[in-house]
Amino acid sequence: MTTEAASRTPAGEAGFRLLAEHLPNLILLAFDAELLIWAATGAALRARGWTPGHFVGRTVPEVGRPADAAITDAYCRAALRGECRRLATSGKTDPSRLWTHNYVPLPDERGAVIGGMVIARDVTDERRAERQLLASRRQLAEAQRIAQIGSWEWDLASDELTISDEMGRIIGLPPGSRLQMRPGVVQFVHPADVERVTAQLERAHTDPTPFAFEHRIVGTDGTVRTVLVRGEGVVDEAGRVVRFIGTDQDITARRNADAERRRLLGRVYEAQEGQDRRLAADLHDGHVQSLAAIGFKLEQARLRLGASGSPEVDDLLWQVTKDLSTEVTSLRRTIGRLRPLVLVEDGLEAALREEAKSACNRAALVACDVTSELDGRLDPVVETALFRVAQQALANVVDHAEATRALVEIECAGDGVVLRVSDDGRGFDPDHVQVLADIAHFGLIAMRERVEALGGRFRVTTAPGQGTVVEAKLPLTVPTEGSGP
Amino acid sequence: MSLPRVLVVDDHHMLREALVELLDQAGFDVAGEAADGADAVALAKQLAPDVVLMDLRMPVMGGLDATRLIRDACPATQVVLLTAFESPALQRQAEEAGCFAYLVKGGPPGILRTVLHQAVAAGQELLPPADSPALEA
Repeated sequence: MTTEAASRTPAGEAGFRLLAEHLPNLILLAFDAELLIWAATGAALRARGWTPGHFVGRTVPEVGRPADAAITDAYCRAALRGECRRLATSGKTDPSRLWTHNYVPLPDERGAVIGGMVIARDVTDERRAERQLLASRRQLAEAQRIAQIGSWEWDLASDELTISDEMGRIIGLPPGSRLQMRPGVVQFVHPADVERVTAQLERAHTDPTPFAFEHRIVGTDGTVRTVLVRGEGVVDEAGRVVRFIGTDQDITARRNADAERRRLLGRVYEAQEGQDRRLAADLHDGHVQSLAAIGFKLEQARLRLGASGSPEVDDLLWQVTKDLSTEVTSLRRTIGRLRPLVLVEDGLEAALREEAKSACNRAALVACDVTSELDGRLDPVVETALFRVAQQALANVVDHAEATRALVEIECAGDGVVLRVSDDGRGFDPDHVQVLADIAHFGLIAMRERVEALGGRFRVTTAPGQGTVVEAKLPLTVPTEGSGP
Repeated sequence: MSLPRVLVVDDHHMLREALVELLDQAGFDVAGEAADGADAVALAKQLAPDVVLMDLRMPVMGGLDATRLIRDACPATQVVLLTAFESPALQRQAEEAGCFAYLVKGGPPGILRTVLHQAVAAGQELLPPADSPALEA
């Protein structure tokens, strides 16, 4: 160390050391015009058990890695010319450590360069953390891409929305896009869902409660996607909602698959109803008429025999005619089940009353009441579906419930109609039934599919000894293809 | 005393034939037969039977429309509807159309003859249909 350099250092050696002591992972080397190190300090130096004596009196290129000697020499001389250089290298004694060396000029009080300084920083942990952070970000982005889940953070004060790359992809924006919630985001919301989404955003300003809802978005390319939004508010110390964090999951494929499944199921039921109608018509126009004709002929035969015939033959003919009448009645019931005429002619309520009456006749039910809020007829498809659900539910009451009372209710609920069939029977364990194939036996799957095929909701509430409530809610009009959730 | 005159209307040939034979055997005078409502109206006007035994669903003209026209043209002629359909709404419509009774095909033996005799009596005594005990609920 030259006396001149030390004495002309603005901060002086003490200040220089004080600075270095408080900076972790740092080694500071001060060198003179001959590149001779005249001061060495730093927390990283001590942490490795080194002393200033390891460095002082040696040239900077000598204390570094031999492979870096030439570049170190050049950078030191650049510093002496008043320039700054930066070198990323590995440790001399421990090559696994990563270092950055900054070569900077060391001016005197008048600004004249009288030496240089090497600020060596061990950046191993920092680089590792950076790498891990980068890897995590990559993994997160990859996971979001695979799961089609975008994330976002909404600052309520600025209304600014920070979105992940996947969120950008869902909307159709480039990575790193930032935008305002309104009108920036709302403009992507499907027009039919704007009111609902806006109401949710309004609520978010005062209510940090986690939320989840679905809506459609129209991307920048015009593609309509369905997203499941989940969010949760963050409040400040005063309890004010300051921001929301959340995710948007692209469930378009799932919803499309659901819609396709519903469409196909709808077709299946349509085909089944058509087949039932045809079969009913065949039975009605053919078999019932023929059997009725046979009945009249038997009656005629009895009349012909009259008093001249034997009483035994007369009794036999009378019995056969009665049996035939019973069979025709039974056949008419079958036709009624295949194509419930009362439903076609009289509507849902009348058809349900007939079913309730029939259920009472077939089971030990004390009562099976029907209540209805309906005023007029429903869409025939909706009527048929609700009737079929009630028919199956009542069949379950008759066959399995051991109930004394049942109730069939129709309620009007906004844009939908609710059918509820409840009984006071033995109920069942729904979890048990889910596991067993009994669920199909009870017709629950068919009922659910039928309701969901029309965009409705189906629910069974039951427990052992607690009776059963079957509830189906259907929209008043059948959804058309291509309409959203 | 002349036999009660009946017009049998049904598009099902075998059933119509059986009805004609039964009624003939049972002491009715089957004045005519028709396979649709329009022919039934024309024959009813021409024959003025005591009773028309009328099917519900038929080609050309259904039983309810035919009943209305017959009741308008021949008030003394009673119409008994005989159908395979069981429906409260249809039963109500039959009553509104002026039917004397609504019978279901394949019903208990003997009921048809009983109701036809009641209808004949109602027509002869000019009893209003509402007083008829045979209009099944």
